[in-house]
Amino acid sequence: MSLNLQQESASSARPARGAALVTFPQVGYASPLTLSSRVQVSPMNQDMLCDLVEAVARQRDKAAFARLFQHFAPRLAAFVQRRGADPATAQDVAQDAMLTVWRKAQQFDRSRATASAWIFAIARNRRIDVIRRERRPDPEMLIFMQENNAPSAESEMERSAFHGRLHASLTQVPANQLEILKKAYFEDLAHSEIAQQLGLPLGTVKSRIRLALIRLRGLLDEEETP
Amino acid sequence: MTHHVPTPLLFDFATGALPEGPALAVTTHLSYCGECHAALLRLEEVGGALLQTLEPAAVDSDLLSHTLARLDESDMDASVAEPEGETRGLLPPVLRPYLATTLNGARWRFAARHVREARLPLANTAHRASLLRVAAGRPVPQHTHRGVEYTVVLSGGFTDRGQAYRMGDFCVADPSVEHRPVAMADAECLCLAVLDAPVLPTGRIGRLISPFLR
Ligand SMILES: [Zn+2]
Repeated sequence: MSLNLQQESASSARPARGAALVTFPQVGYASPLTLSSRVQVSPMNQDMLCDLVEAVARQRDKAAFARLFQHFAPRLAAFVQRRGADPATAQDVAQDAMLTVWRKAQQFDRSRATASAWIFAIARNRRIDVIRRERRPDPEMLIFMQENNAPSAESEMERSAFHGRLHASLTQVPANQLEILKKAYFEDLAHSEIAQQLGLPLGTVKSRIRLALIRLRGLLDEEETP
Repeated sequence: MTHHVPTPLLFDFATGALPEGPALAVTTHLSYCGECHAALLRLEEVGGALLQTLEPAAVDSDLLSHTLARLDESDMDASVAEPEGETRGLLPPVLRPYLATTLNGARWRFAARHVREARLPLANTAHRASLLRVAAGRPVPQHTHRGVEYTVVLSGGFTDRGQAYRMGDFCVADPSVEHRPVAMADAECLCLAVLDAPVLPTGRIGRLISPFLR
């Protein structure tokens, strides 16, 4: 295992900040006019990331874990810093979240979530736990007596199309909507707090979030109506 | 399932912004509702996609090796503990950590005529979370709200302002709402109630609401 691990670490070459990131080369229709910031994807795509989580779950594969760590830990640290944590705390939360990934890997189900979304939810809960000292249930605790268990009804193709669309359409969300999405997801701010911070009426914040979610097709039913 | 979590509230839950009390009401509803759970998973995909856009932060060069060294000590979690006794099994897993005992063993206190209350201890005391038991066919005394009240039905049901709420249904009442929910006739109604401010009794028998709920 350790031999294998070293090879992995060398070949997946942890880069200096941002060095291994490429800017959406394959998405031709990302209009620069609507980009408020450079949207980046890593060389590892979601399918590969999902494979790695499954390797951790099934084979307790430490090399796979190391690759996940190299991809996610610096992003999770950035994510927690955006909430105002100092770098040391952010790094602790990132490490903690990755240890949770190791422990909970068997609960990952690629028919319900991508690796990024699943790890986002884990890190969000850890952030709430560490910074706000509140608890949130682990994702698997939500499974109880659900009617209309929709996620598993989607086909692999549909899901993959949805995620492709989601990542591509993120580049098309107008800057004033993307700013609000980022405030919400990164800074842990509710609708009303965003409105206060930006000096906007609550209704404006609500409608910008709603429009952004409509733009990210498939998130709201109104997707067909412009 | 008829009454769902409003999208803005589900969004605030997905981003992590929703405080513990309302978040507990949301996850309780999700425990019964695959539709809202699917909507949450889609909102978490947005979080995952945004995470990918973040410029990675610098982390210590030995963080990976330190983490790898800790893998064996933090091995696979046992899955969710089995409910202890059938009365506790009635409760969704998300509520169980808040109740140290069985449902019947909880400290049920008089809250109003026909209404018993067991408090759930929140770390964030900005809200108050309780389990409420309302006797079959009986009303909760008429009241309005200084803040927002979230109710999720766990068993039985109630009617309120012409709507019927049954197992898993999510009900929001804000200060504009003055109401007198009535438990359905066939069974006691057990629900989770989360308040961000005390209720204001308005009816003739409002004075029968205990000071705990005021
Ligand atoms: Zn629902």
